Amino acid sequence: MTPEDILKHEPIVLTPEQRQSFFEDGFLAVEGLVSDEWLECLRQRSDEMIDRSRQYTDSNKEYDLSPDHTPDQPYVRRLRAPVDRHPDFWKFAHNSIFTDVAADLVGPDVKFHSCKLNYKHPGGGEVVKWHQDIPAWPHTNFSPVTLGVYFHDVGEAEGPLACIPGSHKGELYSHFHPDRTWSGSLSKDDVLKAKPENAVNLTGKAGTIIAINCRTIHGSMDNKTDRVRPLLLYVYSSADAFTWMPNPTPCSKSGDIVRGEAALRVHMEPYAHEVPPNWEKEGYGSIFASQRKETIAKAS
Amino acid sequence: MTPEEILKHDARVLTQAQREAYFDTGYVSGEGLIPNEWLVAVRAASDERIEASRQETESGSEFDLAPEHTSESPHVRRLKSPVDQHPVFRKFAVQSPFADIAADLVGPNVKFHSCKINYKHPGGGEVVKWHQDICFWPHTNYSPVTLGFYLDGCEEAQGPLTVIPESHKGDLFPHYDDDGIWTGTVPTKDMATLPLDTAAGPTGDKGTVLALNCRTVHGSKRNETDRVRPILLYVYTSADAFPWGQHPSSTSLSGEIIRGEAAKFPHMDPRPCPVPPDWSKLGGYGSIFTSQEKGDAGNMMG
Repeated sequence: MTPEDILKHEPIVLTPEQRQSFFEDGFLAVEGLVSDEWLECLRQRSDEMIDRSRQYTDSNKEYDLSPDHTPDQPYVRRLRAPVDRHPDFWKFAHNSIFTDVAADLVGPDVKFHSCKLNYKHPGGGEVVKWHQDIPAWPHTNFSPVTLGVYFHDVGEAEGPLACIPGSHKGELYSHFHPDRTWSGSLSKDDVLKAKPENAVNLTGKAGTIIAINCRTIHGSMDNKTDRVRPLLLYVYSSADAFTWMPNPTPCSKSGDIVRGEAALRVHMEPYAHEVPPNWEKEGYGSIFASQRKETIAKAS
Repeated sequence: MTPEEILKHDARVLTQAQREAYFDTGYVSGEGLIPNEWLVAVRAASDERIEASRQETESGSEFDLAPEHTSESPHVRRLKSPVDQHPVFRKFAVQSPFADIAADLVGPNVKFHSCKINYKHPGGGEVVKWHQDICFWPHTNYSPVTLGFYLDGCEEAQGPLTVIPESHKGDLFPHYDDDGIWTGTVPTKDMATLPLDTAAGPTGDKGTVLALNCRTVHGSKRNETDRVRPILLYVYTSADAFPWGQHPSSTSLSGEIIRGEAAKFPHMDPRPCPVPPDWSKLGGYGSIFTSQEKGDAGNMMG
């Protein structure tokens, strides 16, 4: 669906101004939508998962672990596919305020794509360089939106997610190194073109929901506090958006319709952007691993 | 790639007139394009596999068997993924003039999609109703072409593959019934809008090649003779075409670039395309025969 088609439907939880601003700027941050009960539940599930990570020494299909991870001092960079780790994470995806926000931004027919729970630890370990999401998991259109929720209050010092306003209306940039291996980020020259000086930090209280369009250039700085900053991220799309390359981070719910009906027809935007590596063949670690060259994925 | 871009490249096997006819009518056929050595080798490989089917009692990943199949009298309706069943079939996909014919029709960068050999037995068991291939395996553009060749030739009475010329320039029809169940066929009411009287079913000696655009409406009648009519069908696409649904019949060669180079950018054609069932969530794709006979469990909303 196009933004115009989506806006014709009555909003469920967002205000008309909030939706308008999402389509205009390419991102949104809204406080106070997630109930205390949900927040407490998500925090608890997250704590349990961190506790479980003590038994592992290496990254696996559930966890992306930092080289500094030990049983005594767990250091999880990412919990992969949280909806497959606990039913509450899935309930939050398909039957919560989160799903309502998704429907307000992609239309009444909503498809689930992927999910993760990122932990930004004190220090610079989880700096995320400027990137766009859609080059890693291209769809037939640009409806995909990443929704995030902060578990704790996030201020400037915690390395909040930062977005460049209006960048979703601009170019789709290459996310390859010159040698055609995947970089997962914009080149230095492209970053300069993208005007990062205009970036907006998405700060907010615990429970703040952030929404980022799949083309919006975003990243996050280091965490200057002594507290870990978890961020739960779920990707949704219009039901009429279809992936045309293997999903780098598939889960058992990828492709499920979580609201409304399956699409009878595809919505195909006649755009062209670089084909990502074939993740099924090349394997996908994480954006941290790609951006730090811990994993090397070649172009198809 | 668009037809205009494709035609700018020099022809390899087909004549320029044949290529233009393909883009104009949605199909083209030509005799004498497959060297005899290939015909003999492919024929022998097919015989080997039919012989092997005698050990099978049910359809599986290699064979789609008719209910009357027995070890004494094999009745294979379809050999699935032949490139994974015999090295000759794989070589034929990559090294034979077939791949060059594909390049003539999809451009110099050619991707392999899927393959099968259909055996049309005497009688009406393997009638194929009118359908459009792309509705089964949608791509980001309409470059996909199905190349077929008759292993033993095909005469009028053997139910040649028959097309509605220029139907590739028209609509894509949802291959569902009114209840949203996948039928694998164009609904009768939609067929009534097409010029059925123009239908063409090219026949020819063994080795006759038929190329069919993925949008072209086609089907085939019953075989009125007492001889089985095998046809080998391989699907190729431009490298810049990417499938966006579940692959109903993936092979180990699917997605491989067999001529030229991988695409750096996709080509997205915005013409509307109906969505097929999610084959992966329906316990897999049977065959067009099972779909058209009873409707697979392909409920649209499934």
